Amino acid sequence: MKKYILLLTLLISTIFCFKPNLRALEDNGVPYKTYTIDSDNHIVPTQDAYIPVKSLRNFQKSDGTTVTINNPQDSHYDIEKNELYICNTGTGEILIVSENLKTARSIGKGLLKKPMGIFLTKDYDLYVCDYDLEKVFVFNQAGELIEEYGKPVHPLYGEESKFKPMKVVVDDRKTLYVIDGGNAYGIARITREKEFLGFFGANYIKASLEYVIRFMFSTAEQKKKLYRQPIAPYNLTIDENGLINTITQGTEMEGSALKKLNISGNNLYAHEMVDSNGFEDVYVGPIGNIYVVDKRGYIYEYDRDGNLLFIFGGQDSSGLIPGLFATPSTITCDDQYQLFVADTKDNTIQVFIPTDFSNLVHEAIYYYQEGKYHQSKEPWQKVLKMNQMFDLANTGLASAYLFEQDYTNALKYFKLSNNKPGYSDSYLEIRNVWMLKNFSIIACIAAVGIGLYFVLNKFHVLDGPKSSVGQAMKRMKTQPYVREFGYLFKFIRHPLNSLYDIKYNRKVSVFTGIIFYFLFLLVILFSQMSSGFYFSSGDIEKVSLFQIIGTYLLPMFLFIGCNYLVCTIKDGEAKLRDVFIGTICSFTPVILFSPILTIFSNVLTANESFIISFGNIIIWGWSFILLFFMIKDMQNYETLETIKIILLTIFTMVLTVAAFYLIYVLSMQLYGFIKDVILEVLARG
Amino acid sequence: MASSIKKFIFILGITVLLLGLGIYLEAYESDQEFEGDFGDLYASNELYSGNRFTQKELSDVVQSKIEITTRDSLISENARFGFYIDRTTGILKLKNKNTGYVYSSAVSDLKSTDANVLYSQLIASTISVEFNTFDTEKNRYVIESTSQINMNKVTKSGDEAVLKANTDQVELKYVTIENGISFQIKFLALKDIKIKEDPEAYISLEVQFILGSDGIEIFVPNESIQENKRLLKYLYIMPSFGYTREDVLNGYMFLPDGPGALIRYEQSSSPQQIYRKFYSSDLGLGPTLKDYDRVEEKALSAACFGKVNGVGQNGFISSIDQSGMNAELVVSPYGARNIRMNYLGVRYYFHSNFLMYGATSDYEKGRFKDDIRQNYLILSNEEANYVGMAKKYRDHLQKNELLPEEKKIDYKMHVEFINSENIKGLLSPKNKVLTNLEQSTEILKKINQEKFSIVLKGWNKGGLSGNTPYNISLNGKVGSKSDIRKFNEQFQDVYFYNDYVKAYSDGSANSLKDYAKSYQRIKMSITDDSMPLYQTFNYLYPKSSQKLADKNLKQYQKNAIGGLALDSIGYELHSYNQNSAEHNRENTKNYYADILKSFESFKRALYRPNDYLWKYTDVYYHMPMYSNQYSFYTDTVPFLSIVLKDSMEIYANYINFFSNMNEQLLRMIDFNLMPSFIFTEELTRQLKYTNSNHMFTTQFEHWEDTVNEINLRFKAFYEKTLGQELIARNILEMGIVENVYKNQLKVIINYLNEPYVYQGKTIEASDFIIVEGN
Repeated sequence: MKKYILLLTLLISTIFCFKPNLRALEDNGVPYKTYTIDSDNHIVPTQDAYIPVKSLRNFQKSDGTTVTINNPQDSHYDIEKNELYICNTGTGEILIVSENLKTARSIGKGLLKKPMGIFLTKDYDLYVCDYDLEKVFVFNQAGELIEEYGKPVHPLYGEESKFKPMKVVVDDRKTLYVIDGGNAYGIARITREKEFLGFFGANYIKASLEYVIRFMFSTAEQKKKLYRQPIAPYNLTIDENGLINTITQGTEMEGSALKKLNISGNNLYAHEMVDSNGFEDVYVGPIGNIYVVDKRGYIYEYDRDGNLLFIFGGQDSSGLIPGLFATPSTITCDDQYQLFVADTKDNTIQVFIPTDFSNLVHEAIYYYQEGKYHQSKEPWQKVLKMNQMFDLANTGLASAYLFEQDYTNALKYFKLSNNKPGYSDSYLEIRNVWMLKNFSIIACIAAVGIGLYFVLNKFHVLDGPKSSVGQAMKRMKTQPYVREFGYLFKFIRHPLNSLYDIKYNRKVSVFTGIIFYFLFLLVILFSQMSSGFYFSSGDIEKVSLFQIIGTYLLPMFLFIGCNYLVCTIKDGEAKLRDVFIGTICSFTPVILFSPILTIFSNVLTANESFIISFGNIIIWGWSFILLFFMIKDMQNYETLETIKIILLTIFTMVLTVAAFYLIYVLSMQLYGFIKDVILEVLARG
Repeated sequence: MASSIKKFIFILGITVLLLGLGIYLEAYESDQEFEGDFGDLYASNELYSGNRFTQKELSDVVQSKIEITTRDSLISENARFGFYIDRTTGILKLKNKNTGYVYSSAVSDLKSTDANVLYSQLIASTISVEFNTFDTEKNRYVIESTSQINMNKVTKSGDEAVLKANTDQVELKYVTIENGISFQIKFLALKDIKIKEDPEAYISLEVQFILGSDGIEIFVPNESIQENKRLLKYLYIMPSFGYTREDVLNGYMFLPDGPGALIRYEQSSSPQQIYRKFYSSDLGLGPTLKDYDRVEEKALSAACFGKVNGVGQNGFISSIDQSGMNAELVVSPYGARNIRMNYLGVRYYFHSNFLMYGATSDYEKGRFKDDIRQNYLILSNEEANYVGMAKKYRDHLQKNELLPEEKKIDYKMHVEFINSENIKGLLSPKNKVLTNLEQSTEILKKINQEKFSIVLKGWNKGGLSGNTPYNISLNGKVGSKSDIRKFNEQFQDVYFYNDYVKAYSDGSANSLKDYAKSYQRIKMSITDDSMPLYQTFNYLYPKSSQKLADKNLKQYQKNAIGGLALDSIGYELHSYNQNSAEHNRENTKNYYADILKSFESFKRALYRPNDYLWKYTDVYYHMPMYSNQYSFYTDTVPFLSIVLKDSMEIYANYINFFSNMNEQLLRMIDFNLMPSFIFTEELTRQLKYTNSNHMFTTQFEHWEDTVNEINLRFKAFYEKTLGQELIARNILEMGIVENVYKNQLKVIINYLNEPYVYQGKTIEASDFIIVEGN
């Protein structure tokens, strides 16, 4: 007994021992932190959006008895009558809780055995899925049974398969969409006349490369085992427009746990959305916003288009901390954004109310998605005041400015929200306006520039034998490093001759070669840090020198090493020095032209983006062609032989990487082993 | 000619580029100003009946169920109390002569339905111990389980529960001392055959109960505690003092959770009892659960607790004056573990368990060295509520010189500046200035307020994050020494931020010598992978903290630094292992107190300081406004702020991050907290790739209007109430609070989102009024 007490004490103290927190800023009286996503889809902290205010456990019935929440599996809020419907699976009844959240009446007691899902139509027909009785029952407002749906009679429903209705929604035509626990084909569609229309909204399977390879090399027997069935949707809801949202548990594909299906069952949400494979229930809020509760106690709120607004909540098995859940099962919402989330372990329904912050976000989003950008401006500004890093607000505000033709501000906020298409649109407009306004000045500057050039040229100011500029340039050319640097330009014009010069005349020293590598690094850095916003990969702080070295220089050095080794065996004639210098010289087009593209990218918009992509294809393609010829000429190979050598080099590179990886893993294991032995000795000794 | 065309194209290209750059730069020139205020508060009034708020009191007259019987003999008495003992059971009784109410040190009128035998024996005994036995065969202590011996034994038959002294296992001697009685008690070897124990095993100790003018003082001299072949784990002294049964009585238990929390006497939703250590969790015993999605649990920052049995009638507040860091609050609301009682007490813990190297179970070899001193201060009549508790506790602290002397405190606004912060650079972090001293001055000038309490963060060369404890050298880009001097002269209360508890690799601490190890002999380090730059910090040995602080003392003075805002030291308290010797939290506390004592010549601002540092605190930042709101709590009350009001400046958390501005501002008025902000001159977005990336709204430009608006409201309130003691706090209706000050000033706060009429005056929704006179 004492042992149990100690264990229990330990358990309790564990529950109450949270880690020291590095971010103890908030004092909003909630036990969890609230997060949203930034424009890079990273989860970032935000103002608290909802506050847990109370837990519901018992309700008074009109006959004076008390009914307790027991294994609540589904819920619904009727905003017309302000009544909360709870599918009280444990007691086999549907509870209709009045506005005061204190009294309730019941439907289906005695008839229902294991009600799992409910749906209330606009004309107050209550559909109830009973898992054990294998039927969907329909009750009228008075609680009388008016209809029941059994297993559909259809060849797709085999004789042996069972009808295990779990969740149901009904559209305006009274067509039922039933999640059947007995099959994995999707959502069964059944008409009012009980005709089975087929399955809807099935999920897909994504085959990984590993799966495909394994499948290719499997015998017929093994293949049978490898066949996988798609996971069936787990829960569903229907919105004002009759579109169905489904959630799927255990899906391996990121971004496919929550779907909004169009009439043909295709997902309307972007694939990059942040989700969880533990989603339990989904509900549509007052402005089409979607609430989803996850089995680990997190509540996700998305806007109508699937943008994640908030994540909050969390898990707590003690049941003592309001706002956290042990095993949440269902979520619903009233027209004031008040949330009701049920927990099947604690048998409670927790009530959350929205904060000022989330009210503002809802107001702004409402106007924004209705296209009333102007009205959305003020709430977005208020949202931004409370959280200046809320990227959705930056996009919203930018859209409002764009709508008002305030392109400068639109540009600013699109940039803050990392919204490239929006940025490009605003920039295009600014550029147009600027060009129109300044066309005369541009023309004048261009004319003066051209005129000046011709005058200077005419009098040989720049290149005449006596011109000081010309003299200075000539003197510079005699400097050895400047001359060697000039080889870059020569390499572009006469690659084969230059290769010959490098190999036999040693026109480029190893030192200059190293400088070329540095130049290459600088050029890549420049392109990553100074490209125009539309063409950049994000904030400048994300650029990492080590990453650039790892992506560009290390493969180059690996290539040089491997190529040299392969060629030494394969009778190549080049020395390591030649390959080292030749390789970087092959990338001359990148060194010379990439900065120009980078500079140009600053004045181009999405419409002209092809210039940049096309330019990049040319300079990189050109470089690889030069690399090919470098190997061929330096090593003195035939074309076919060169191709073979390149393939061999790549193969050697892969093997080298694999070998290094292996050494790394083994040494880590050795380290772990030694560490464990020492710790063990210390602990026992 | 071809080359001419090339050159022409080149020049044209350059021209276009220059033009493009012009457009690009122009696009960034103008800026946007934000305006507007915050929306309405909650639509739901459900909120106010929850434990975020204080509930309306019900008053029934309470009759004492406990009586002085013929078995009780008088030990001592004074004008207020009579102190009795039943020598057969060792149960003490304290009669409040004022109200006639009798408190009992243990349940003297036990019923068989009250609890099971195990708990019945505990609550019916004045003293109990839990201990580990010594396994003579294995020659080691059995630390995996504990056994318990209570002073009394309970036998049940039907409805009857019979209480008898546990003479088999306890040798008890009463010694009369001045104004009290001393229990010299020896817990003997167990005769229970299930546990093989050395027959010579015992634990003995002396517990003195002394009647004072305010109630009872418990004193346990440390040297009296003897352990022979037993490890004392927990010592319970009067765990059920002031118990009440079920919900027959209106009243509550008080816990110093956050600002203060109440558990009213009603059937609890908690199925179990709660054990909570005072102060934060002890990382020295090993790492605790990590969940970065949670907000830190609010600590019990003062070692006290209390009960009210009948509001406005009877109650007590107990203050643990010595060894509070080794005490654990035992909360047992009615219904928990099927016990039909409400009781609240402490148990002292010894020889904590931990996992050596995170693998093998072990226990703390030494014992804490302080004596135990705990006071039960009795409250009667109008004192018997949480305001009375706070006042009594404050008086008690003042009497024992544990609080700074009361002084005139001006209304100030707490403004923190992030002067510079470290941002990810190409190769290594680079320092970025977000607000220099000149800009800070400009910002302060824009606020219509005369007095500030200013904290500079990132004033040092290393920048705000990743550098604690700082190398004391000024960041020239923020301001020079003369700028600092000028700033200090202009604004008086300027505090420089530093942290002597948490050390980062770029800070001044030595990672080999100064980084602390836990009892597990593992470095006490915390890693947060979500941080963009510095992800790991280590706790410092308190001795190292002291060494570094001492070293810095002169450097501060040299740099014209007159005030320090010290983070972590106020609320972190851990035991540690240094040079293979275990040092408990008491030791850490002494070092921290010494550090603050050595900074006596500076103004000291602490973040959420625990009670043992209040003496050294001039300014209290980040006063909590909410408790942990566990489901069995019923109310949140401003206990802490009533205790500390007028002894130090008290500020709330940053208003920047309030998500319900109106409600939270009203709560600040209600709790007497002054406003607090954190600002930068630069865009908040500049913090995105820094360790301060969770501060999502700091740019002053966006806050200027709101700050001035808030300041006006607060000024009006503080002009009238500063220096005035809060004498009563009444809940008029759900969500309507009436605070009564000594000068008969009343502040009525309407949390509701509808107007409220108070004595003919209308208080707008989410607003307050000040009513003067009677």
